[in-house]
Amino acid sequence: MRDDNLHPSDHDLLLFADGELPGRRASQVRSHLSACWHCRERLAKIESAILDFVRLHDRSAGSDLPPASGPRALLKARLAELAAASSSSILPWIRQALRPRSLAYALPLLLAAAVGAALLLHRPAEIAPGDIAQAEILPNPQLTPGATRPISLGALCSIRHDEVVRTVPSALQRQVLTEYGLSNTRAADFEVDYLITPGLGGADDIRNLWPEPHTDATWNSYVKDQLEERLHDLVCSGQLDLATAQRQIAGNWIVAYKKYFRTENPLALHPHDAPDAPFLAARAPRDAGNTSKREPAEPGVLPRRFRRIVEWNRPGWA
Amino acid sequence: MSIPPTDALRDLPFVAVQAHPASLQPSEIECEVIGHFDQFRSPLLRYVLSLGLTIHDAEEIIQEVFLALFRHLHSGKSRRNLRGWIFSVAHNLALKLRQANRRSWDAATSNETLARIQIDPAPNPEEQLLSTQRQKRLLTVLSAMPEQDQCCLRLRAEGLRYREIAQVLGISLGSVSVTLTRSLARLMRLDEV
Repeated sequence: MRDDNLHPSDHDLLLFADGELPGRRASQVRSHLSACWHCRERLAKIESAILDFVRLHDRSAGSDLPPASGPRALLKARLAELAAASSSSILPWIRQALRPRSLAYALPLLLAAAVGAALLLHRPAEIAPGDIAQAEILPNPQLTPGATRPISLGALCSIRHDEVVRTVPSALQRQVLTEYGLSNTRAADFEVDYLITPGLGGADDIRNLWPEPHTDATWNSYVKDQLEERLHDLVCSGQLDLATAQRQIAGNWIVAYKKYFRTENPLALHPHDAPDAPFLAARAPRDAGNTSKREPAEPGVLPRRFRRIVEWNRPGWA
Repeated sequence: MSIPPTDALRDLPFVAVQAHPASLQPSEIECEVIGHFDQFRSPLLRYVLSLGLTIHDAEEIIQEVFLALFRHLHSGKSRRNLRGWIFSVAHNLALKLRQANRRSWDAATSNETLARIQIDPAPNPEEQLLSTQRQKRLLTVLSAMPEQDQCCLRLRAEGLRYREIAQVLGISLGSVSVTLTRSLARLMRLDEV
């Protein structure tokens, strides 16, 4: 049994002051303090050090914090956007369906539906060789309906559109080419492109990727880049909502281009965007067999803001 | 004398909200998240700023924290120790961003903090001088401590209980109490020099 006359350590005194001591030990310390002026002086010194620190922390972290009203309003807007996206999400339905009781009833139906969907949606496209260039200017909507990832408008608009560059993994590129029945053609004739660009919330998902011919077509990938940048600007300036932009570029990007540029033909490309411009060679080292155009200007070095968003959206990171 | 900013938080019960049904509607979660924002924004902002970030970056991190909280609650995950969870996410985001910015935390604390302390008002010039000199010495002692020790002190100053601090920093409960005792002992020795 502990002797109440033994002086408690500084450690015990601090835990006592912070209410972190177990009840029995706290009673012993309280009883000791009532009898021992020496230990009360030690406790007072600890409290004084705490007060010193709190004052320092208060001042060093900024005693005059900016008002919360602006950030609060911004958060509300972002949450409303997230909540709207969540309402249309099928995740809660999936969670409900995956509960054991529901699963017993639903599993056979789910399996049948999955097999049916796989047969309908992911059969290889049957495209005659001569039709390839024209066919893939617009993706096959059954194979590439478009897919988005959850991202806030604030995060999306905190970076420039052209900073959102991503490399489509080569395995995924091969999968896309196979899906389109192009596994035996020259990979260098195509770029595996995003239908909904990451700069508009597009996902790294096979349903959002298609092999786009990048050579002689009037409506080529460089023209689509113009549209992507235009839509990003419109969304971030509040002139167009993100869902509409995603829907229009996924529906028919050429129609969207004509609508948002008010033209029947593609505008002249900026010299830097022309296919022969040197930096595009850095963006798309096609001769190396990489058919993705989403290469950063400096390979391996992503812009700071983009790195941040990638990190913040890493699954399970938070 | 300035009132320590953490008193209100210290009086709060430990945040251990009962698990809500997973079927909570997004709009209800939205209201709940805004409620947490109102409760924790100031202490979070002070803590993140104390890690050497700019006010812009700190505000941005706090937005991300509460968006992450929405996703956390919407996915039906645990509501236990939400305050610890919130500080934990903010702490991790702040360190990541600081690393990305390659900004020296030491430089931030020593330069910006000193600038703030130098304009700290005191009753008269003599007391002001003494107060400033003492706070500079305190800051020097604090800056010499390992970052984990400083984080322990700052989280405690924001009202977190020991087990919440342990959760944020990923250390044991015993380490928190030992660290706090050791750090306060260093601050107490300031007047003995």
